[in-house]
Amino acid sequence: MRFYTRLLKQTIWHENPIFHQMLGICSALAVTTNLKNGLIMSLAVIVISMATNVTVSMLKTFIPRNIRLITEMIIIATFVIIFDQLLKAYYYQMSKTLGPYVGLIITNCIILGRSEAFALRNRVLPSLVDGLGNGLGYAMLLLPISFFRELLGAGSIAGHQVMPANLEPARAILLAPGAFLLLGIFIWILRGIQLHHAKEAE
Amino acid sequence: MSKRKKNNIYPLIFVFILTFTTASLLMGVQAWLSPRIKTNKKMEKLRSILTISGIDTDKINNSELEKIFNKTFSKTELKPGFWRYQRNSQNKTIAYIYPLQGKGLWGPVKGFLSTGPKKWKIKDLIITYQEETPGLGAEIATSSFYQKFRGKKITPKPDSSKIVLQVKKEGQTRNKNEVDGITGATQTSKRFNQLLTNSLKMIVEDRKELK
Repeated sequence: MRFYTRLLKQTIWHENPIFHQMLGICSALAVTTNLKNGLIMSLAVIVISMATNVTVSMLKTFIPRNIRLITEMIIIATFVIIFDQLLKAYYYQMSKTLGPYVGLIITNCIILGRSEAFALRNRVLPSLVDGLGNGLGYAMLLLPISFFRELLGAGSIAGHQVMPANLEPARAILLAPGAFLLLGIFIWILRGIQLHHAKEAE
Repeated sequence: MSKRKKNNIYPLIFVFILTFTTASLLMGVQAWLSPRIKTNKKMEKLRSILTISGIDTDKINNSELEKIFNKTFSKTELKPGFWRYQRNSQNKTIAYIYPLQGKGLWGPVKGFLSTGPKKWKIKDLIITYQEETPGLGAEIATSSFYQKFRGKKITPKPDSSKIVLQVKKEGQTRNKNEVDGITGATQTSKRFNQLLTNSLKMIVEDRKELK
């Protein structure tokens, strides 16, 4: 059990996919325009990264080395399509607002990266935990970024107007530069905390 | 590495089995979910048409929605794929609903527009599909944008063909027939104005024939 909690902590904090490994940034910038998008996208990445890791880990002895990347892509694409279809069937409005971004999870480097770097070399259960940890690590940045982008850029939280109507929201925060700015600030803060911890530990 | 993996034919067999399995899985999922997805799309369309014809659909479930639509609405195909819906009440038409369709900045924009008994005025408008920039152009699909069109004049007089309704840059609107575009989404606003003008021309012609 301790092994798994350590693994989880490591993937979420010490080797966080976004602020440590700089993976999956493209989608983190694209879908964070409001909190609901960020939430569903985080959920999608958590589920898909767990499912992919488990499948790749189960198949690892059968996957021929020279075609392992294409195999991983096929597995990821299958899960992404299933998730997309489920969203369209049971949460139609959300699938409309997310548009093409759910499909683009196929190209999310976190999922491919983890199946390549972890699931191919490890047993099923640790791979599941690794998938969960990386998904949570992704959500850990996605949620605050989408919260602040929606609040500052549109003046609302999860679609409910909270800022006074006469206060003009900073629309630039909703554009790509705004996303880069916020992501940069978050990475700076979190890495700062990490460095501080490391120094204390010394 | 085992012998099996060095064999040239093995990757081929592996890929064949993998694609066969995943494709069957996806076909199964599609067969399971596609009726539901189709219903969702159809219901969304009916809900939009009902909403802009003046019926509050928030508390109506899907089966009732279809019943109301079949009972109180009639539809006419004006040209291939372009339908006009009419909401009838006591043998009178109280709303005419037309589709809106055209190009946005990144992709198609679709919606519906309704006119009431007063044919030169917009009753309501809704945008149901767009692929514009999230947070900017995509705001055209929010009610706070399209509600601005309620009650706007399409033509200055009932029998005129001149379209006066315009989407202008925010802050540059001068009269009551002009609607504020979206700040930061000039291109989307421009194209939306074009789309609206084109559709309104068609609608005005059609309403002339209807009397």
